[in-house]
Amino acid sequence: MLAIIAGALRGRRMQAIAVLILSVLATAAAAAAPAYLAAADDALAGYEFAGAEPGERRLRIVQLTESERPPDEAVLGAFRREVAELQPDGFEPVFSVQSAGVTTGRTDSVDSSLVLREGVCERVTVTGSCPAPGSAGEPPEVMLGPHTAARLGVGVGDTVTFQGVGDIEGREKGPVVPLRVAGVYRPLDPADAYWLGDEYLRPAKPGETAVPAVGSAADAIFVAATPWPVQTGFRTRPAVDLYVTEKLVLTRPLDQINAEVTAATDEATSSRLGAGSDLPDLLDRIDRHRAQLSSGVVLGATTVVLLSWLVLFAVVGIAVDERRSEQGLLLLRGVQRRRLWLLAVGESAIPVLAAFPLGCAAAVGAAKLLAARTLPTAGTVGLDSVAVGFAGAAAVGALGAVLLAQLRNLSAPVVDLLRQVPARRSSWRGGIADALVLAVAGAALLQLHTGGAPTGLALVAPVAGVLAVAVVLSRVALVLAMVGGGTLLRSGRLASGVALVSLARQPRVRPLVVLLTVVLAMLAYTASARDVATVAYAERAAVETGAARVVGVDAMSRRHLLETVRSIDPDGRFAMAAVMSATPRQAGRVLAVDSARLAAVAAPHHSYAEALDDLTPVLRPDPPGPSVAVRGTSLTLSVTAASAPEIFAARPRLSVSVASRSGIRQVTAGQLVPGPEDYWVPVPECVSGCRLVSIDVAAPAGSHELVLRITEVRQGEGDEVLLTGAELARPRSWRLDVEGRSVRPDVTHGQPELRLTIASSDVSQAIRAMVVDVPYPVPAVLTHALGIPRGYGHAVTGIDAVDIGARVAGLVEGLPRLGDRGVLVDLEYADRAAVGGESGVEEVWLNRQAPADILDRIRAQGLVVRYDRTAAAVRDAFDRQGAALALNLNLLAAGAVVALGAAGMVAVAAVERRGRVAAMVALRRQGVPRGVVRGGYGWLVLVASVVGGFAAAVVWVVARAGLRVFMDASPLPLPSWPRLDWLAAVLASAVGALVLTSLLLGLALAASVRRNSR
Amino acid sequence: MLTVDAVTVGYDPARPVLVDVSAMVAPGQVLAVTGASGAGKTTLLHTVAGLLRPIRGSVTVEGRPVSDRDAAVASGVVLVPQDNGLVPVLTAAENIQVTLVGTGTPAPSAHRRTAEVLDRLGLVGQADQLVEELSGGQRQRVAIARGMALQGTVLLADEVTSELDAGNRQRVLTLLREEAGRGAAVVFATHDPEAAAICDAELHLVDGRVESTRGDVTPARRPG
Repeated sequence: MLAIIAGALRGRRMQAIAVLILSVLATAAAAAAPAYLAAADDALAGYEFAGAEPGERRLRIVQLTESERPPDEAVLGAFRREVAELQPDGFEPVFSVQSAGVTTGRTDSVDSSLVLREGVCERVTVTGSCPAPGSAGEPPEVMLGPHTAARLGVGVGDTVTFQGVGDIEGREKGPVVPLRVAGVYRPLDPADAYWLGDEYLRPAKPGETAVPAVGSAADAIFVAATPWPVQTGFRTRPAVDLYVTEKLVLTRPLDQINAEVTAATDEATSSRLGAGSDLPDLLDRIDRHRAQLSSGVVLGATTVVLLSWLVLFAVVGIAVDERRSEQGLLLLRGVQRRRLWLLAVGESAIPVLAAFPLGCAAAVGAAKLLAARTLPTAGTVGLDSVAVGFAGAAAVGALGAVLLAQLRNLSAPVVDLLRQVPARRSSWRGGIADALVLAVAGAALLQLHTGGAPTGLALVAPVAGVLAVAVVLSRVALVLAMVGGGTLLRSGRLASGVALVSLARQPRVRPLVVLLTVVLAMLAYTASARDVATVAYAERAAVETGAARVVGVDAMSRRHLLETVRSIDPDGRFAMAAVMSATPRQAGRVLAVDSARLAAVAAPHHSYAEALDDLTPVLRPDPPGPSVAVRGTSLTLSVTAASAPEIFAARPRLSVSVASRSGIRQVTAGQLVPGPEDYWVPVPECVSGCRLVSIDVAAPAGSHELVLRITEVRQGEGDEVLLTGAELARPRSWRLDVEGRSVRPDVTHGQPELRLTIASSDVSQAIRAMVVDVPYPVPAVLTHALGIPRGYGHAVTGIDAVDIGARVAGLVEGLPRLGDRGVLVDLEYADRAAVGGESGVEEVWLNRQAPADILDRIRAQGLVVRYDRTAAAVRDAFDRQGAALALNLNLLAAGAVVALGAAGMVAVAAVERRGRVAAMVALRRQGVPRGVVRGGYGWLVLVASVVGGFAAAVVWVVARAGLRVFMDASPLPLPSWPRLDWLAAVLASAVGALVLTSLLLGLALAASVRRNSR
Repeated sequence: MLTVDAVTVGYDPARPVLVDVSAMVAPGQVLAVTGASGAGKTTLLHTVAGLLRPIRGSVTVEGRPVSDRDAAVASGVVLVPQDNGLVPVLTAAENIQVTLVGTGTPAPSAHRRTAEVLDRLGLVGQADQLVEELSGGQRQRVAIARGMALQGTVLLADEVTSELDAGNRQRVLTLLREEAGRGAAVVFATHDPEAAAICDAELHLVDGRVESTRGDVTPARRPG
């Protein structure tokens, strides 16, 4: 038997080579997927680790109680022992102790901390030297940051003093202790997790001129290990940062690390230590990246493996058909079918077995290539048992496909085998196979639509769906080809007619139709998915960032922010101030912007529905009255208060709120007394101008009303009249805010005065008579998703974290930064409506025209830069997520299967060449012109293109629900369809490749026909 | 008039398959080419059909040289090959119709003529069957029907009665005779002496050489 098998392999060398090559492809694809995934897991983890927030890379454990004891070896040793018992394996500890106080130099003092932190000297460059344990009688040595040294006016060798904030009871500050400046340090890498963000390199306070980019005068002052420089009047608590290393994340299962961190946290808590870490967030992100990539790779690899099997099935099927009569004759001569099966198995198993090691080797090469091209960092590629197992399964599948292709002929009656063209009656096996494919596709799609994140069969729903549609439509297409071909023949259009009936009457051609259909449909699907993702990444980045570039800043006040940005960009061409409320997204976050600049600066998006220009008049109608501008160091209010003595005994208080460049401040004017009185309020910040926000009354609980008649407000030392009684009496100039509720009271009774009548109440009340210099409720533009109709009132959390009334002045589908849920207001109006200080996130939005030195300009105006984010960087970050990598990989796999489709055409053409040439030669010999007997595969490509396009559209509609483009939920819906120009370009290149293959095959066939027709 | 003039044919010039064969078939005449298997009958017919180019000598139809198959088709040389030359994926009727349309017959005429010849050969019931679904004899008759439908000036029939029963053999011979009656020069390769006997002339080949002739077969040699 072995000799017969060897003979069969020699005799059917081309078939053996085709089986070998296709089996190599299948095993390579199957093994490459897990090999690539292993490398990608490492690369993704490494990438995420590198970009993690400092808090995500360490577990911090601290002593819960502060200590007044100097942190000597005994104290630290005890703490070290406690930590050692609960420290997870592999984490790298960095112990530290710090103590807050005031450091004073020649020129100034700074609030800063003395810090002992392991390893600091290895992470800085030092002018001078790192602090060393001092000798007796010498001041302890310290190391200052450059900004601290500059502020204090000291250098290396100078002496500064330190005074602790006091002991635990806060009874008295510590003694003033001299310290010798041994060195001035600069961090080697301020972004190193060691510095823990701004914990040791503290950001500057806003308002200073020339704010440094890194650190400030309040940076940590490092001391030598022992002895602690201060002995009394201080508080410390030892802490340890247990750093997780990249190696640990790459080598240990994430859930194990997570469990160890949780266990350490629990143990620390039970040991009366505090513990906290954002490490689980990092691990969760890595896990989700890996899961998304893994599920994406399954689709790509399954597609390649399935199609390899399909090509094998088609090629071997046609080859076997070509020698049906040979098998028929063997059976006729009495050879047992069992022996024919053995021959078939042996003939196929040998190339498949040979393909296994070759496929594994190819898998490593392919995975390395893919990893180098697609992963953000290089990963290590190798074969593990999983990859070998997958390769084995693919090889077994290849063998199965080969045997399945032979099943029909090996079990066919002898009389059928002796025919050259298989019978036209349909095979029950084909029907069962089709039903099976449909059932699998149905189950996959059902699972996709009923489950959450796609798993199992749902992962391969697109290819299963495409295969099912291709299987069904290929039958329809072949019937249409039969009918159409016959019609064309009868009408005399021979070339097309012969080609179509040849296609339709060869049952073995159908797998090739299915193959090419799936190839093109999967390419269309994956290209669509990739394009939708590309658009979604760009759109989400643009919307969530808001503008091309957004710089997060700390400002002294919203006015400081607004004035600074307006001074940097007086014409409103490239910069806009914005403040984002800290409200959770579901409740509708509030974004306050300098609305006149919104259209010029914000990145446009179609979901904004209206032109952003149109929003400015909506958000910023004319105010009902002017602001009350104060200029002077004090205010004086002439007030007559009237109430029962018990009310005055409860100390009602009068205050004034003013808004200056340094923020809003409520200044107490004093306790209200019965009768007329002038109340003096110091407002030194108003010397250069500020705005009167409100006149406030804190009324005690009581059974009598309190009536205040404010008859005049004067400013400055010269008592210049700021508001006359008549001005105070204008009812539209004031609104009452009672415990956060805005009411429009009857504030006057015809007298030239502002009259506030505060009704009796069981509880104390805070009443603000607010200057009405802004439309109230504040006009706001809301997104439709919040469900509030235009014109309605809506309480929103203001930018001072206090609720304000808003009126729905406009509705849009989406808003910059906020997406489909949010509220947009004008920043200046929101500031005027606010009563509290800073809250929310202050930002400067920039468009592409912003100058290159914009950060310097911002810092020069006293804003502290906290972050600098660009829409392009956000988009790029999306593009490096696991989901994006999976989409890239699938597109690559789809490109590879186009090559597989072309290879399938070539292989089929090779095995059926003899019969096809004979038919064409026969026609030529009868005088049929050359043009009629082209006999290429152009029609096949055309049919597959049409069916494939349709299949892709169908599957896109039913399976796109399973498309995972982001790691988290996006505030924007995904585009429904890809961009047609992109899709057309991708498909045109694939169809072009297949058409070219068809042309070359046609030319080869024509040459063969020409040679044989002579 | 088909003229084969001192034709020598071979795949290897040193070992010709046909040597110095001459023959002449006038319109209306049926020439039987006989000989044992391998004698060169099919080679002679393929040479006349333009499929093989002679090493020496020439083939002409009405004085026009047959240099290749296209020239032969242009001169109206129709070949009914030994293997029938039918396309397996086409039906009986389509095989005929494709050939007719391919050689210039308008589609409606081709349709009509196909029906006629199939009727004449008793194949109306098999018109829409794939060639592979026909018996050997039916296929042979389809091939003959196609040859007749082409209505060429020369009809070359290569062993076309080999798989036929007696009745159909007689029918085919009659049809060949009718083709000659239409004015075609018919060359009929056969190893069947009975079939050859009813032909107008006979050329007997042995090992590629003309062993004997019967009737008016040999063309007048040009002087020199």
